[in-house]
Parts: sequence; structure tokens; C-alpha cells
Amino acid sequence: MPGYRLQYAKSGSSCFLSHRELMTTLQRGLRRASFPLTYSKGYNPRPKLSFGPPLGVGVAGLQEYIDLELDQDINTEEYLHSLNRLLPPSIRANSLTAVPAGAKGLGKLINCGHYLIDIGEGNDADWEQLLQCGENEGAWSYERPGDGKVYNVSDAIIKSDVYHEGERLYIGFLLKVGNGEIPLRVLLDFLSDKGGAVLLPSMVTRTGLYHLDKGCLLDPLGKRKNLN
Amino acid sequence: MEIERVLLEKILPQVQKPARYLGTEWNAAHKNWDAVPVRMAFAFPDLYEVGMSHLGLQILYGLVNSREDYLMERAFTPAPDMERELRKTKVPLFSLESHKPLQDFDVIGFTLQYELTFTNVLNMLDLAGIPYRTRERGDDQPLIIAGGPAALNPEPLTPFIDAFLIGEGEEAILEILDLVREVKGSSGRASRLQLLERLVEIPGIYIPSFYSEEYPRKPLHPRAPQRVQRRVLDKLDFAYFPTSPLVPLAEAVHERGMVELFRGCTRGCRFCQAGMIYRPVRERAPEALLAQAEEIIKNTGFEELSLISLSSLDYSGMAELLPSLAKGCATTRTGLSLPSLRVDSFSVKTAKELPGRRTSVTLAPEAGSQRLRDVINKGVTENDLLEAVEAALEAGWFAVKLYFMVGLPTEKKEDLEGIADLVAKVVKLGKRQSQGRKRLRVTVSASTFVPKAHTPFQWEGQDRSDLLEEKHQYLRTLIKKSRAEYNWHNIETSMIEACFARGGREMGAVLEEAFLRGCRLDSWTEHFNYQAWLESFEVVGIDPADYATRCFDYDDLLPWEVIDPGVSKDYLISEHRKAMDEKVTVDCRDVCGKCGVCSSLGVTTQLARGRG
Ligand code: SF4
Repeated sequence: MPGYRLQYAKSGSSCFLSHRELMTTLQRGLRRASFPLTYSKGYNPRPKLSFGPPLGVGVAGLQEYIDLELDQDINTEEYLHSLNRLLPPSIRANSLTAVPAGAKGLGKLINCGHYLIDIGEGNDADWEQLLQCGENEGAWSYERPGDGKVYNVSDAIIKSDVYHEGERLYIGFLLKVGNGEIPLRVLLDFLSDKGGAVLLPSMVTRTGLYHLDKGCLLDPLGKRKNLN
Repeated sequence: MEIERVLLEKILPQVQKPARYLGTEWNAAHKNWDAVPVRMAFAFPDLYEVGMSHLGLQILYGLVNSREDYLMERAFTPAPDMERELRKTKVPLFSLESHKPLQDFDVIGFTLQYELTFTNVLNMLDLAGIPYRTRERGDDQPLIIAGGPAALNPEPLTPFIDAFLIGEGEEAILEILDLVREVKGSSGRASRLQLLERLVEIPGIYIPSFYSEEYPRKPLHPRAPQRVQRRVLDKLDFAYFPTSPLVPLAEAVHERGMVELFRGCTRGCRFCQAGMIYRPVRERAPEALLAQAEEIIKNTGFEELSLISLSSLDYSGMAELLPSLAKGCATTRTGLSLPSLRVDSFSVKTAKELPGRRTSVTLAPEAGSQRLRDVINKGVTENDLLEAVEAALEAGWFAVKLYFMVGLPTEKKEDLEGIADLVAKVVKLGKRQSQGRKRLRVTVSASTFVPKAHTPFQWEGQDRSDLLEEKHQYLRTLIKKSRAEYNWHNIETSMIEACFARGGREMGAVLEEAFLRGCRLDSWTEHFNYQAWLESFEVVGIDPADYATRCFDYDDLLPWEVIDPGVSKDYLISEHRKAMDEKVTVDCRDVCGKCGVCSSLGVTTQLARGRG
């Protein structure tokens, strides 16, 4: 069965879809666009789609992925075009590429993601210093108020940066995904506590998902990205 | 844009399931607000997930938006967390598509599907910043109308609704909007009073303020009819049907495309309001249904298609429809489902052949003894049920759900024991046939009988709640013995439902009190506040126990008599008498039972494949 990898973006109002709602929306978009989806056998046949790591409600994603198994080869250009016509405007399919047989699945491949938090204007906290501190200390931990569960925050952060765009402030994080991952909400609550500003998932964009190996970032389509 | 910004930045990040409030569903109509002369909001007085599963919404939404000059947008009852945010941020209730305050629409139309959604009507108006009492609304406020099955006894809502539309809305809604357009002319808003003056001419419109306050309601307005006759479509094949329905974003109760095989039901169950108020049966042609099904799947991507009707397998064109439909669904990998199965083996076997996943089969014998089934005119025998279950077992299903009603007129202890007997037989059958495989799971759901207006049981009272409680407990003990699961519907909500279903105008006062005491979303167990309801009854001076249980005589004046459903009073009386004599009435597909609908409303039964 031919396999394809779809890269898509969700933004605007679609950020407020849960992972499950997004999966259904995409699946129906694929059905409307008549993708020759392969269905599982058995009592409850489902299309063989495997989604990349879920995004929380409110978070935007610029380069998200689904792997699809199809019954036959397709003209990727045509199908990509038709899919974009049949998806809500706040979900865009960026690219559709064939995946060679035996290639690693998204779950095995992806081990980190880059997140950008839009802090906005007029926030006084010195984030640069704060993050610096965290790196030096190397042992940020956070106890979730609800259930008292303790998370090792610094361990989940591979890298962090502060950016300015005019008056606007952004913090970028390269975070572990899968092994060593902490819920984004935990990081936001932790930073809110430290920085004295309320940080919500709706301020966050995941700009990309990668495989980090020996200091080198590779996206699921095989493109290399500079770690710095 | 203001609401949109607050919504995205402040409100949505704080609420559960924000997808309910986005309005960006596939096939949602986003029209240029300023370019459309008449705008209507469809207000569904329940949560998104319920409203989005409703066929009536899809029909009217598609129909109105198919007209260039009109626009229809949706609003649902916000969940409690959303209500808190709206009140806190002082954002008025808005439509989903363009996020405009409901106040900006020309018409707001509520659909009344269930009595326990009535507090939501008041709440939605209140959240919209519109006085919920008709009397307190200004001439320049939107016209508030309501329709749907519960509008067939409109009396409890008369203090709040300007005009009711009785019966099927497909034609009437456009007549209403045409009129609004005409009255509005080039002004920003049509005067409500002027509108009502004209609306009274549209058949099926009931304007309570044009009638006397006391019963019997007499028309005070020269053009208001003595009785308001129900609207009914003549030929369904000529009626609009949505083939690009909205696709829910947040998970709805039913996520599926819908085709409507027919409207009406000819079985004549005596407790069933739908069976009386949607008469006569009008079937669609199989070719039309096939074409619609194909379009719907293509335009939505739904994984399932459902054949909606009151008793879908009664459709006379089934033999022609199903094979082609099943074939089409198999190619597009779409499941096919029948929401209502008749209790017989044919139904079960047919359902088995449909593509898609099915694990359980639902059968509704409604009553436990042949005697009581005859009283309610449910033409089902014990044999039918056992054969149906046998067919289900053969088909490989491992769960059966059985629906019964407790508290039916003339019910005795033996009838409850009859339910337990039936269940025991089903369980035994399951055991016998289950050799070597999973045992049949039997679930029994018992609801409480609620007498409804315009049915042969409209004169009957509901059982007192302590008696109902006793009956349910007794039944549960009996059923436990056969190790089936027993669920029963909340008796308290059934009592409130009964008070409204046959209630007069005085129930409006109770409703208002309940709303002010915070009652909302009463059909959701987690939100239902019985204590607040009891207090509301007390303030108004009505004893709900008496009110729900009162019986009427044939010549008593009934609050809903101003509405003429087409079914004659004589017919209802004769059906009631037959019920008391334990006599059945046959299906009017075969022989006309002379209920009066066809002659008084000028329509006829239409079958896809001829009568009989
Ligand atoms: S008039 Fe006769 S055919 Fe028409 S709905 Fe009534 S019983 Fe059925």
C-alpha cells in the first residue's frame, strides 16, 4: 500500500479544535476530496491515518503531519489542490509527499518540537534573565496544583530563546516530544508563575516538529534545520 | 468584529469545547451581512451537540440560505461555563457564523423539541439582552417566533413568544421572511406590531396576543382564525432537502448524514405525539433519496448515513432503495444506519445487511403484556420480539436494548411483571444461543409515560411520582433476577415535562420563576435542579403533583384547543375509548382510519410504491 505524508497548518479559529475534533475534520476533508484511503479490516473499518503528536486546544501549528495509507498511487499535486478546496480555510495542507516503504512512522521519528509563545507588548518580566537562570539552575520543577504531580521542566526544554519584534516579545522553545515531554499547559503555568503574566495555550504556535539527533534537526520530510 | 476579538482572545481560551462556538463548520453559510435584506437567527434551545444532530435545523438552515435575499445563522444554548464568561464579559449572545448579537437579527426563531428546553429559551433571550417577556419588548426589537412539536401546545410559552408556527416550516418560513422583507422596506428594522398585523394572514401562525386571555381563547383580532391549523407539506419530493448539511466541529450526539425517507407515521401508537402531529405519511421516491444520499456523502465526508423517519422500515420503497444505497455506501466506505427498528425479525435481518459497524440492536415493545400493548396500540407480539432477538443473535449481535414505558394508562402489576417475563425470555434465548461465544447483553430502559396534547391519551393523567417510583423499583427488582441491566429515566424530569406538555398559560409563570432561580439545561441530569422547580411551582401556587396527574373529561376545555392539528377530536375520543376497551386500530397505510387529517388539511397519504 502506498504511503503518503501530509504536512498541514492549523491556525485562526481551528486552533480551538481539540486533537480529536481536528482528526475528524481532516478525515472528512480527505473523504470529501476522494482520497483512496485504505481502511482497516475487521468489524469496525477505519481509514489508516496516523497523526503526529497532538496539539492542545488553542495552540496553532504551522507544520503538522499525518501519514496516510492509500489503496493506490495518486497525483499528489492534484489531490493537494482538491484537499485545500475542501478543508476549512483555517486548516491548510502544505505538502503531500510519498513515503518510501519501510520509512519510520511519525511517532518514531519525531522527538522534539519548536514552540513560539507570543507574550505580546508591555510585559515587564525579564524573560531573558529568567530563562538564563533556569538554564543555569538546571533543575526547574513544577508541582501541578490540581493533583500535586511533579514535572521536571528544565529537562523537557532543549533550548530557549527570547525574540523581539518591535515592542512585541516572543519566547521560543525547543521542547521534547514523546520521551521526556511535559504537557504544554504545565510549562505555561510554570512560566506564568515565574514571569507574572498569564500565558494561555492560545498564545502558542508550534512552528515545527523534528527529529533531533547528534545536534542536528531533521523534519519529517527530511529537511535539515539549523539548531541555532 | 468586536465580539469576534473578545471571543477569540478572552472567552474561548477559558471554556470547555470551544469548537461549539466557532461557527466555521464545513457548509456553514457565511454571507455578506450588509448585502442581505432579511436576517434570521435559528435559536436551538439546547447545547450545540444536540442541536447539530437535528434534521429540522439542517433543513431550514439550508433552505433559507439557498435564497440570496435571506440569511440564517445559528445560536445554541451556551454551556454553563460559556454563559458565565458571556455574562462576565458582557458579550451578548451571538450568532455563530458572523458573531453578530442576536439583537441585530430581524427574526429569531426557536425550535421547541422538548419541554425541558423551555428555560433555555428564556435564558437565550436574556443572554441576548432581549426582554424575554413579549410585553416588555419594544416595537423595534426582533420578532421572536417558535415552532417544532412542542409548539403544538404553545400555551406555557405564550408570555414569551410573539408568534408560533404550527406544523411543518419549509413553506411557511419563506412566507414569513417575504413578509418581513416587505414590511421592513428600506428601513433598518420592521416594526414588530406591523409585522404581527400581517403575519396573522399566514396559515399556521398563532399570535397569542391576538386572542383572549381566558379560555377558550377567542380571537380578538378580526383576521385571527378561530383555530390555527397545522401546516403540512403536500409532496415531499418537491420540498427542499439539504444535500450540503453542516458538518459539526465539536462532537455532536449524532455525527451522520441524514436522508428522510418519509414524514409521518401510520402505526397509531396512542401515547405518541409524533404519530399524531406529523400525519399523513408522505414518502419520498427512492430515486430522489439515492441522489440525495450520494450528494450528502460527497459534500460532507460523513462516515455514516442514517435513514431518518419515525419507523424507517415501514418505507414502501425499501426493497428498491436499500440494495443500491448499500452498494453506493460500500464504495465510499460509508456506514448506513436505521435509527428506529421495528420489533420483528425482518427489520433485524434488514439492518444486519447494512454496511457499517453495529454492535447492538434496539427494540421498543413499550409494554410488557399483550393487553397493555393493545391498549397503547403497539402492534407487537411476544413472538415478534423473540424472533427479532433470535435474528439479532444469528446476525452476530451481542447486545440488545429493550425500551419500555412505565405508568401507561390502565397499567397493572401484571403488566410490569410482563416486562420482567419478556426480559427473562430474551435473556434465556441469549443464553441458549450463545454457546461458545460472548453472552448476549440485555439492557432494559424504562421511561415514564408522559401524556401529550393531541394524542388519544391527552385526557389521561400521569401517575403520581411516588407510585412511579414504586413501580420502577418493583420492576428493577424483578429484572435484576434475570441479570439484565435496568435503567430508568428520572421521574422528576418526567413530571415537569408532563406539567408543560398539557399545561396552560399559568405554566409560563412557573417557567419564569424557574429561570430566575437559575434553572437551565433541565434535560441534562447534571444541571436539573428539582428543588428550584418545586419552589417555582409553590410561588405560583400550583401543585405540580396535582397538575401532572389531572385527568380531563372529553368535554373539558383543553388549553391547546386553539391549535388544530388536523386529527379530529372525535377520532382521538374514539381511539381513547378503543384503548379502554383494549381494541387495536390498524395501520392507515392499508386502511384509512378516518382520523380527519387528510380531509381537513387537504393532503393524502403518499407511498413510494402504492398503497397496500
Ligand atoms: S385521514 Fe386516514 S389516511 Fe389520512 S392520516 Fe388519517 S387515518 Fe391516515
